[in-house]
Amino acid sequence: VSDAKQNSSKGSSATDLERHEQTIVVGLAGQPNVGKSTIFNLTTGLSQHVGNWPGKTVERKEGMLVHQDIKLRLVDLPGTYSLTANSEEERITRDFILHERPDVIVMIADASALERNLYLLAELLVLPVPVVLGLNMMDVAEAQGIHIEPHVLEAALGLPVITLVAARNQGVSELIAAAERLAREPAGFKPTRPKIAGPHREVLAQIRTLLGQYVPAPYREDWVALKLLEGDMEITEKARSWLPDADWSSVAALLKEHEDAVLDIASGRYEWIARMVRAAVIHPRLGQISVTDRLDRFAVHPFWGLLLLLAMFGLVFWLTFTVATPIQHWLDVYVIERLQGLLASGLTEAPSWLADLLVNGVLGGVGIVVTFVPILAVFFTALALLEDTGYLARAAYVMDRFMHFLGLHGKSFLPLFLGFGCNVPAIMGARVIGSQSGRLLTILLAPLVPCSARLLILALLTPVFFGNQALMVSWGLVSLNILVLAIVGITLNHTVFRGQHAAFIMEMPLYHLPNLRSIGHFVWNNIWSFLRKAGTIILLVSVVVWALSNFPGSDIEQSYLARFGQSLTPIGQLMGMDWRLIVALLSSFIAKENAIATLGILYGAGEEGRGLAETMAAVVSPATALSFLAVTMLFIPCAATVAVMYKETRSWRWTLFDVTLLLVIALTVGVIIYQAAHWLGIGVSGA
Amino acid sequence: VLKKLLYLAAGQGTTRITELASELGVSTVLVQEMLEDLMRQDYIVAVVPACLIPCERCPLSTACLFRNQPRIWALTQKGEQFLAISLKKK
Repeated sequence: VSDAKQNSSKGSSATDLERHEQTIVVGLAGQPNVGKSTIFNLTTGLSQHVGNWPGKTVERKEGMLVHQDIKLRLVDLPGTYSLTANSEEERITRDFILHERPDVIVMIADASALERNLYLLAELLVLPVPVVLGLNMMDVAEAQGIHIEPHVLEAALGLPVITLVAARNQGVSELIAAAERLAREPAGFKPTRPKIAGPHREVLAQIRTLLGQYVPAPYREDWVALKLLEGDMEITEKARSWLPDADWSSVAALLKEHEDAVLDIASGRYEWIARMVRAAVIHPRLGQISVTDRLDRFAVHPFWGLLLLLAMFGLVFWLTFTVATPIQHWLDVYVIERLQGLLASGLTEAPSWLADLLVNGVLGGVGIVVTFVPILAVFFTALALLEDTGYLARAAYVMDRFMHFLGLHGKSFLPLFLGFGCNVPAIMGARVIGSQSGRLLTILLAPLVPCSARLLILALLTPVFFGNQALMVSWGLVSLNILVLAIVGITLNHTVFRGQHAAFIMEMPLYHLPNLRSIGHFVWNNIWSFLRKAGTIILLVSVVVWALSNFPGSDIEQSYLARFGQSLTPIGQLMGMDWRLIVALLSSFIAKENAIATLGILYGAGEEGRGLAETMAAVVSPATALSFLAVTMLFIPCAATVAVMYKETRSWRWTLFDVTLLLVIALTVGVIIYQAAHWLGIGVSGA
Repeated sequence: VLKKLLYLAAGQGTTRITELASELGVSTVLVQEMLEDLMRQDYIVAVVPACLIPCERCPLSTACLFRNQPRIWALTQKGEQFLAISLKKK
C-alpha cells in the first residue's frame, strides 16, 4: 500500500467511508505519459473501478480515497494534449468537466517538458473548474538541468503547484491535500488566464453578446464564443442548433470574417506559456551555447557555411585519393592485369575472338569498373559519416540559402541535394514543388548536380593526370558544376520561368556520434547496387564496345567504333580529344561508369604491367584530360535520368531542350578549357 | 506570436527553428509546439525533403544520401493567402 494511501486513509475503514456524506470529485488530467496512472494507482489502490465512458470504447477508471476524513472520488481522464475535440479522448475530458462538473481538476505535467504541457493547462483554465497543477518527474527535470521554482510558478499561475516524483511516491499526499483544500474553498481560485492577443478580443465580446441567453447549461457563453472562434466543429454544430437563424447568420458572418482569430487565441496561450516559463524555470543552458549551436554558428553561416561545405567536399576527395586510389591502382595493376594474363593463358585453345572478348572486353571493361569498389567504399563512408553526424542537413540549408541568394526557387534545393547521390531521385523529387514552372526548372537543373557516378570518375582520373594537384582539380570541377548550375538557374529563372518565392521552416537534427552499423549498411547497399550495375548494364556495354572496336578487322583504328569516333573528331579536336575519349564520353550516356569501362577497353591494350592509369597518362595530355573531365561532369545525363526527365515532364520538347542545353554547355566549357590551356601553354602534350 | 512566426518564416526563405525562437524570444520547444499548432490549423504543412513516399516504402531508401533529414515545414495555400491578405491590410 502506498505511502500516499496510508497517509490519506490513516484511521479510515470501509465503514468510515460510508459515513462520509460529502464526496469530492477529482478529475485527473494530463498529457499521455506524464505519470497520471502511477498517481491514480498510488492514491486509489484496490478501490478502483474500471468501466467504459458512456457510448465510448475508451476506458474509464475511478477510485476512492479518504483524506482527513473527506472522501474523494478520483476519475482518471484519458491522456490529451489539448481540449479541442479533435479526438475522442479530448471530447471525453472536456465533456466530463462540463457535464459532470468535478470539484477540482488535478493536472499532471511533465516537469522536464513543462512548455509542452502548459497548453493543456491554458485550455483547462477557461473551463468552470478549479485546477491544481502537479509537476511530476521533477527528478528527470533536475537531471536535465532544468530547475523549476514551484513557488514562483504558483504565484505566476495563481493556482496551487505541487512538485512530485510519483515513481518514488514523493509529493503525492501533498497533491491530494492541495486538491482537497481547493475543492473545499474554490472561491479563492483566481488564476492568471491567457488573454486573446490582438484585435479579436472585441470580436469575442461581440459573439458572446450574440450568443446571449441561448447557450444552455452546463455551457457558458464565454467558453462557447471562444470555441466558435477557434473553429471547434462540435461546438459550432451545437451553437447552430441553439441560436435562431438570424442570430446564427450574424455569428457565422463574424466567424467567416475572422477566420484567423484562432491564431490570436493560440498566440495568447503561447505568450502566456512563455511568460510562465520565463518566470519560474531556470534553464542552466540558457545563455550558454550547446555543442550544436556552437557548431552551427559556422556550419550554417552564409559565408563560412558555404566555405565549410566546399571544404567538406575537398575532404571527401582527399580521403578518397589518400586511402582508396592507391588500392584501386594496385587492384588494376596486380589483380585485373594478372587475371587478364591468367585468363589469356587459360584460353589459348579457345577461338581468339572469344579470348579477346573475355580478356579485353569483359575484364578490361567490367574489371576496371570493379576496381572502383575501394573508391566507392571510402567515398560513401565519408558521405555517410557526414550524413549520420547531422552535417548534411546543414549543407542542404547552406545550399538553400545560396540558391535564394541567387534568386532561385527555394524548394528546388531539396530534390537537387539528392542529386549528389543520383540524378534520378532528384528529378522524381521535384514533384514536391507545387508550381509547374518551379518543378520544371528543378528537373532541368538536376543533371548539373554531380552524381556519385560522375564523382567516382573524377576520383579515379584526376590523380592519374594531376598527381598532387588532383584534390584541387576535383574540387574545382565540382565547384564548376555548381557555378554552371547557378548561372543556368538564374538565366532560366529570369527568362523562361518567373522567379517564385518559397518559404520553409527547418528543424536541424542535433549533431551526434555516427552509428557505425547504419553507415556500414549504407555503404554496403551502395556497393552492392554498383556491382549489380557492373554485372548487367556495364557488362553489356563493354561487350558492345569491344565488338565494335574489334570488327571488321583486328586493327582497332579501322574498327567500326573508330570510324564512328573519327567522324566526330572535328569537334573532339577543339577539346584535344581523340576518338577514344569521344566514344568514352558517348558510352557514358548508357551509364556514367561506362566511360571508365570504355577507356579500359580502348586504352587497356597498352603495354604489359601498366594499368589503365599509366597508359592514359602516357597518351593523354593534362589539358585534354581536364577538358575531358569537365565535359564528363557537365555532359548529358545518363539514359535513366533522361527517361525519368521525360516521364516527369511528359514533354519531349523540354527533355530534348535540356539534353541539347547540357550538350552545348559541356562542349563549350570543354573547348574553352582546352583552348585556354593551349593558349597558356599548360599541359598540352601527354607525359 | 503565431502571426509573427508566419511573417518571419515567409520573409527569409528557409528559416531555422533556432532563429525563430531567438526572434520571438521563446524556446525552441515552444516554437515546435507552435508549428504543430499551425500545422493542425492548416497554415503550414510538414514536407518530406524531395520525397513523396515515406522512407519505409521507398526502393531507394537503403542507398539514399539524405536519411538523417531535417524536419521541414512549408506554407500551405491557406498560409500563403493569410500572409497575402495581411500584407495587403498593412
